Amino acid sequence: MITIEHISKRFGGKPVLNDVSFTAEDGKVTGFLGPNGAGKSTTMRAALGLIAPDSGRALIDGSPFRSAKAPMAAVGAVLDAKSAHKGRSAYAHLKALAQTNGIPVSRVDEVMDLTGIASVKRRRAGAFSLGMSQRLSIAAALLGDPRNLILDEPVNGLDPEGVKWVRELCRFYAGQGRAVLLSSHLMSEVALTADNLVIIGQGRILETTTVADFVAEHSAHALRVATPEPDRLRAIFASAPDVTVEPVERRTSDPAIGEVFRISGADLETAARVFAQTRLVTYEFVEERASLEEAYMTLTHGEVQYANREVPGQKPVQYGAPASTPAPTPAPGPAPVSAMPPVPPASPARPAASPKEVTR
Amino acid sequence: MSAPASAPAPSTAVSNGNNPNNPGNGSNVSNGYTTGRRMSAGRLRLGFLGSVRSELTKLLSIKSTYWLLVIAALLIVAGGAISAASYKAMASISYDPATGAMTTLDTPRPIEESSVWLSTTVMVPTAAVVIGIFGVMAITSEYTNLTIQSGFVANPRRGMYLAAKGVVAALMAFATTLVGVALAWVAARVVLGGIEITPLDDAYRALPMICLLGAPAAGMVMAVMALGLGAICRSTVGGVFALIGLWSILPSVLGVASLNEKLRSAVTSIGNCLPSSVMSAFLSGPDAGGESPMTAAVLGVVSTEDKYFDPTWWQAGLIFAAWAAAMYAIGLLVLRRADVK
Repeated sequence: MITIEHISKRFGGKPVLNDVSFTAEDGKVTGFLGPNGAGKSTTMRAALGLIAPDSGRALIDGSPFRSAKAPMAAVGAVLDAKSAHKGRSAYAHLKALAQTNGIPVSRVDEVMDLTGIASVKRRRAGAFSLGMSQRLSIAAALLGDPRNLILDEPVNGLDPEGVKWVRELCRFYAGQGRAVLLSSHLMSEVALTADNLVIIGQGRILETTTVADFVAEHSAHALRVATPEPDRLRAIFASAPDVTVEPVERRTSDPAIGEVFRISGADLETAARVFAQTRLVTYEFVEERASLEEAYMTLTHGEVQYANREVPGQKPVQYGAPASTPAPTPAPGPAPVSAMPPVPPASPARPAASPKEVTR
Repeated sequence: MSAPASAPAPSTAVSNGNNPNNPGNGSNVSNGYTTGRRMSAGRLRLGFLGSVRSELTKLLSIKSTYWLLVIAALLIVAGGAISAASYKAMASISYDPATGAMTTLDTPRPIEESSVWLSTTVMVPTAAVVIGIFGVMAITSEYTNLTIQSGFVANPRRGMYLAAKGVVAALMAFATTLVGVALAWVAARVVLGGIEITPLDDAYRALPMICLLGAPAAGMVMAVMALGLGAICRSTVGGVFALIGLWSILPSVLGVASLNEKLRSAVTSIGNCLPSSVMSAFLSGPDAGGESPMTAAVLGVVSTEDKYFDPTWWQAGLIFAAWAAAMYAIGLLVLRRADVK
């Protein structure tokens, strides 16, 4: 278990961490998310004793890391990918680390097999590609079969198979009852791997929640409808007070004909029945969820450290209201995460609604 | 979550569940992702001996170690050979003070054994600079390659970390200097082959001991001092520059300042206590002349009017050790307090 208690740190007068507190529980993967420069690496280094916080403390399994009897069995850490001596062989690098904690040298071979770098055992670490260096760092972390894992962007430079492997590794160790603290700036990867979520921005914790709660809270259900009869559509929902029908911009995934609307606050099943009953013609009828990426960006946009200028020709992304409001209206962005097959047009007397349109 | 029995690693080297290193352990379904009693928490322990072994592995696995130490040893050997050759040349020349004529003798005069021994350590101060660079790089290479991170995560006790490095660097420096001095003696005897060598004078009784033990000890102390400087500077260029500054640049500056009559006494005393001066004083042994190398170099005469501190042989040794202890202590302080970003 990794406990961070009220850690604050300034680097040369600039506050980098501001009263950061959270716990990475045993048996769970804790995803540590934040934009670049938010303080993720600094927090992890403070947990490992590399950085001395100005105030607060970090505990590994209840005691400071420095007092661990066998540090490599307590924590396995992946911090920087390229952190082996360039002139040293991978085997010597791992062997030297293993010897400090009295880990048998046979473990080095084992760990190299696990991470897939056994074939480049004797090669200089300076000749490694980024992916191989990342695997070497992961190998070093696994040497002591640690009770806790602290991984700072471990999938940088890994191929998709490697990314999947790291994900499975984290889940495996969490399933064993160990604590895994995984930091990333990619929401999609964290959503697949983590159970708990800690979001940090500009040195402050923005949200501490579970992935399930975050997804539920931030996925606004909306119906996207393309119809040639906007007035009838509006009339259907005119009497419903908490349903809003608003026109939206056409995306490439929308049909070329008809007008596109977003209906928020309406239930999918009820709307489908109503459309069928009133025989409203629809060219598209999809249930949309706000993507996690959009929800995360909405939350952290105000705390972004390095804001880039918009690329010419790109519309600036409009971020909706933060998490508390029930139905944010994200701007045109990535395609909907889930799509429902559309309801077939009600009236058989309209052969113009061809099968092609039905299957959209 | 995929079953543990599968092999998530892309490499096909992990074929099945049985761990060949521990056939006795029944639960091998995890093929290495977990370990059994073999590596249970009770058996793993961070220890000083393990740290020393680790530092030895680290230093022996990089090329620069071999380059630097071999060059240092070769310098000492070369010094022995060249110095012996000059003794041989001097022994072959006869100088007649009355006429001022120099004649070459057919058979060279006998050479004292003490000269042979003095030859062996003549280049040790020079080689010590190379050993110093080795000591600096022992720690600064960790910073430049970012291995300091994994080093501190494996061993968060920074005092033990630096001490283990110090022990290994010191031992390697000792061994290198010892080998160098021993081979230099052999080289000197080879160069002087055929010339009669008179046995050791009583006055120089301690000389072999100083050469075979004192010089390696001096090399050892140099390595520790350099390690301290490296820990303070934390970059190779900075550490080497600090080393050369302390060894050569500062004495030059003081040498120029000592031309000033008013400052001479203070500056000369300080100059006699700098690492290069005390090392030379230590190596020249108990019966060396009264003047310090620095004064002799700059003034050419012994100044008897001014009083300045001129350490004796054993005082010089202690001062040299004190330099190393001070640099190490400051380096340890910096290491402990520094944040590894």
